[in-house]
Amino acid sequence: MAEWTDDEVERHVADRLGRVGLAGSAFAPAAVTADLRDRLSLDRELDELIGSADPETDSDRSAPVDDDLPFDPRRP
Amino acid sequence: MTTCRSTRGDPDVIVARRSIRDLADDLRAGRATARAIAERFLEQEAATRDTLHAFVHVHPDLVLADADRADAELAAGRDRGPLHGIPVGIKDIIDVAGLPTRCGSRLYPATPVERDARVVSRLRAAGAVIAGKTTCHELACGVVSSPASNPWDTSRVPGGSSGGSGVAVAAGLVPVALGSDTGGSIRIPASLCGTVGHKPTYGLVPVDGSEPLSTSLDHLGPLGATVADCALTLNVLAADGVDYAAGLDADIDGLTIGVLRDGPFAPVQPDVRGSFDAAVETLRSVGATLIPVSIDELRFVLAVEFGLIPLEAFRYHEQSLRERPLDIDPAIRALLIGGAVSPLSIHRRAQRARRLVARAVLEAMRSHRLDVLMAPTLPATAALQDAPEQDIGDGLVEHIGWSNVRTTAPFNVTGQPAVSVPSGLDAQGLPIGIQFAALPGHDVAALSAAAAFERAASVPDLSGRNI
Repeated sequence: MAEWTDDEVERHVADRLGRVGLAGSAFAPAAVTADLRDRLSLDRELDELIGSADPETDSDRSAPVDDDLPFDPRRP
Repeated sequence: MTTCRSTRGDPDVIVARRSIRDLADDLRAGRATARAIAERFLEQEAATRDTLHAFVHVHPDLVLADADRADAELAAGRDRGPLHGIPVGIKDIIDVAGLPTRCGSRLYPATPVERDARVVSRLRAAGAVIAGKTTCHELACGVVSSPASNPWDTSRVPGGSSGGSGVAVAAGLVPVALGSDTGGSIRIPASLCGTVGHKPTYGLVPVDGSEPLSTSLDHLGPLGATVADCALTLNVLAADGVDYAAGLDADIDGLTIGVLRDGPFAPVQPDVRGSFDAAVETLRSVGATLIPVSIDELRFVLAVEFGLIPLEAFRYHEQSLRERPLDIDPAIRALLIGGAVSPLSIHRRAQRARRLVARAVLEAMRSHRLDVLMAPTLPATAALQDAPEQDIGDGLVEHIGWSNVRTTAPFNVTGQPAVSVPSGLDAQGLPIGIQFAALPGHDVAALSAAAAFERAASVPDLSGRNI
């Protein structure tokens, strides 16, 4: 996944908190922003394993992919 | 029988560690009754309640009723098997009829639930005495399990999230207790408290009737005083006709073990490394073949683990998050909110990466013809209470929420069975664990390797160490 700028992270958090209706002191955007930065950083580590493509926008997303199936450890 | 001087806070409490087999033999030989064992449990639980906090709900009338029923059946010639009359602790995320399920959280009511979880129903059908609900970390999402304390040193954490189950077994209150394991929550307290802990193959043990954290990673399983205790309990929990205890006495000669030392399994504290090296030599000395194995994909495990959990946890706890956010610990609340605001692609990418990691591990095991993998269960021994970070050595200080998960989460991600077994004690007298992981569905292999090590190593010495 492409690296997000701090501004992009902050805009995303504000947008998502609004869209999912989480508002109030328990949902301070600053704390959420820091957490999401960490999460995005971890996610970027996966680029080395699976590439940087976003599965949400992959051109082959119309085809069935095993990501959607329950995980079976015997046949991962 | 060995004994463990259980607490610094109450040094006069000496509790017995008895295996299921010992107790079962006593019951059938007339040396004990289920009621006497239950009464002993109730006395010791009460005596350690203020120091160890292993249990959050114990209902003596229910415990004694179970025990009396077990005695009556044995007297009438109805023997339900090895767990008949044996007290079992149940992590407080798993429903037990007549007791509340509170998940270490203010979100859950104090009213008793009406139905048993399926695993509890199976335990009852096997004649087990349900001892009570064990302390767990809030929402099964953490490694501290406050207010439970480590029996080896009550100034230290027992680990989590199944901390109370580890404490209950280590202190000898019960020979076995159930836990759940999403990123290590059975094996972490097992390692830190000096017990055995088995995370079965993903999907082997039914989870219905338990509160989930992350459904694609959640497992239920036993913590026990011995490997045999865990295997006997798994027979009941899985109920699939396999005898998981059958191969425990098998000779280790000819077993091929892949030794994992790098990736997420390094660095570790020097005493942990020393204990692990000694375990490798012990296994070699009794005929096992040990092969160093490096699986590069395992370094992505935490990105996968923490890519999956937030969204799945948010989906389950969404209503609570919306209605009672201040009743959720801030760190857990942040994780749940993270699940709400993160791009959905993070979860999907983690799913995709998980499959690649799992395939890489299976391919490594098959290409090297490995029966099991072996790794340190944790990088470190038990941290001090209220110390969020711990020194791993070589200048590395890690948050315990990270250090306690990076070595256990690999087998949640792959879904492999993994058994943690005590391997020794560090310089401060705190337990160290090693883990054996087998191919998915081969829980017998993991348990057999752990039993062979348990037999060969005869560690740790749990006899009266007063820390």
